Amino acid sequence: MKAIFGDMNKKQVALLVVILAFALIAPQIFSSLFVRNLLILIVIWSILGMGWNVMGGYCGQVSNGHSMYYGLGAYSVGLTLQYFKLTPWIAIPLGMCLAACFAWVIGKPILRLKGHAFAICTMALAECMRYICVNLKFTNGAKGVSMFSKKLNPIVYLQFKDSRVYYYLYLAIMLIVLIIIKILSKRKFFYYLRTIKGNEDAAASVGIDVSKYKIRAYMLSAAIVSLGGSLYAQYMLYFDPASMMTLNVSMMIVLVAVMGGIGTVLGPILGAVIIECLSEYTRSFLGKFGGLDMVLYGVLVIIIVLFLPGGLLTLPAKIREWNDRRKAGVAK
Amino acid sequence: MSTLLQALYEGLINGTIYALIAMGIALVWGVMGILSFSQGEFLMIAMFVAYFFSTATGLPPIVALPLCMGILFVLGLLIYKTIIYKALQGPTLSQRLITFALSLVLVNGMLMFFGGTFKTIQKTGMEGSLNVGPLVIAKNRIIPFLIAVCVFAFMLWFLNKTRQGKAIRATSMDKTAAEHVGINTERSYSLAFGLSAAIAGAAGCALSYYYYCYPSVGGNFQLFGFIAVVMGGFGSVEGAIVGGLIMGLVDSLTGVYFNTAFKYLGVCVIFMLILQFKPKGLFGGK
Repeated sequence: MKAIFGDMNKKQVALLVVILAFALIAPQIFSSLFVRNLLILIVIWSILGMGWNVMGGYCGQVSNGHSMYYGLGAYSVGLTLQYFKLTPWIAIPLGMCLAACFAWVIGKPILRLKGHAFAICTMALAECMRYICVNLKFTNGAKGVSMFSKKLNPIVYLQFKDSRVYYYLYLAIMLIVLIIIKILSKRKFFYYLRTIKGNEDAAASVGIDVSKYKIRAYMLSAAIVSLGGSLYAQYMLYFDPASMMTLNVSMMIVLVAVMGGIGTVLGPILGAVIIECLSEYTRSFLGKFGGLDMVLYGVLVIIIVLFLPGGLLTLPAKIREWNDRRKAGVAK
Repeated sequence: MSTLLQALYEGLINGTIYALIAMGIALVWGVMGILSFSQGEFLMIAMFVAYFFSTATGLPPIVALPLCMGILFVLGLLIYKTIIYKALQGPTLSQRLITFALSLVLVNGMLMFFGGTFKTIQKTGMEGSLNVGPLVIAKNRIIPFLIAVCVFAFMLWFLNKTRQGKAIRATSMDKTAAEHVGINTERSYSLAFGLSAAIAGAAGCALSYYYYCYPSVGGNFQLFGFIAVVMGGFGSVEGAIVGGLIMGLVDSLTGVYFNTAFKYLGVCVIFMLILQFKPKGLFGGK
């Protein structure tokens, strides 16, 4: 308990409890399918954001190709069900291990790159994966994978009729991920990552094995994002490469973490709430005007990122700063 | 043998378009360190300008070249002054995200106004093909190639010989030092951004000769442009041209000798190989 709440004051703990309580009763208050869908998407995207944050936020290696692992997670549950009738309870951890192994293999060569070059390289790899998935027979090509079947046992195969079951299950999984990251963020591993983010050469000179820790962070990040992908596929029960593994998905994952507060524990959750609400509500209200919803979404993203580069978690500090400046102006 | 020659020729022609995009990206990257995701969208807007000009007047798209470059230059300047100028004070990642969100706005804005149907220019004045030795040269690829060569020549001359071009290069090497010797770096920045948009404008005008235009046409070209820039050496304009040509060649050779579906894979494999042996790119130095 102390490892989780150790660095918070009473007010923050109380706020956290209120938010958690709200998250628990939210699907009971809102009975519309739209809101329940939104809630589930928020939970999935916060997992994705937290996964990216390990690599991009703590370690400072900004990847623009995490949709690769998102797709990998989805395929790992979809294809094992299709070929071996494997339950997702086994397939999801399997997919996470696979993503970590994959990250280890490709991490060796590409983690030498820095900055924009690393981002472009991950982007190209993700695009490559998409082309492979579209063109192989084994992955059903561009048709995608459909997992729905009435005959399957709902608990063994995680196919529920009521979306509230998904919500509570996914919320529990998200909380586990959150607690793991919170505990890790006070451990040596994450301090090493922050040092690497600050200055790689300095980190190496104080004896941190930079490439080893970078690869570990990349593997952890890949595994968490793969978990998110599996959960999404399991919820939708259908996915195709064209919607899972595009640049837009990769950038959305980055946006979720950056909007909330990059390199913070709770940032990705806040970011997921904002991004998902923005995109779902603009789509439902303005979707009929062609591209207007995405235009508005883009403009809002530009405004938020432009004025709050540190993310929405810095908003209270920013407001305080503005207030102080205004007061100082009045005093003059 | 003639297949190989033909593939090499086609690759070279396609490569010039990738090289044009890559050049714009390299310019912005080299001068202000932004990975600009809106470059492909500038190309798309220029294609629309060329298309509307050409269908309205019946003239070939080449006549619209000054118009395309002018409109895109002004658009680039406007975007720099309103958004990028402020974004430059923030962290690198948010600059990248802002250009990405900008590309979302541009793509969907065009989708909203002009719809998503594929548009081609019917009368380019260059139909049919020529037989030159073993090569079959499609006439509609000749003018795009010439436009690209002229833009390369102009940019290299501008950056290496003129006063303002040298100022831009000095700014990209060391901003503070450039300011110390009296260079207006602010002007270099805005000029570089405007020029990169204008280069994309020329590319769009050239591309409209043989490619159909629709709002999300920029995405693929842009990714190829990014890869070309990294291949050539980060932020080096000459490197970007060579990188773009290599991309075109790999693209067409894998398409001919393997499978068109795995074209992309070929590009990625070559990319990874080059980065293995020259992590700083072909012209990266050091």
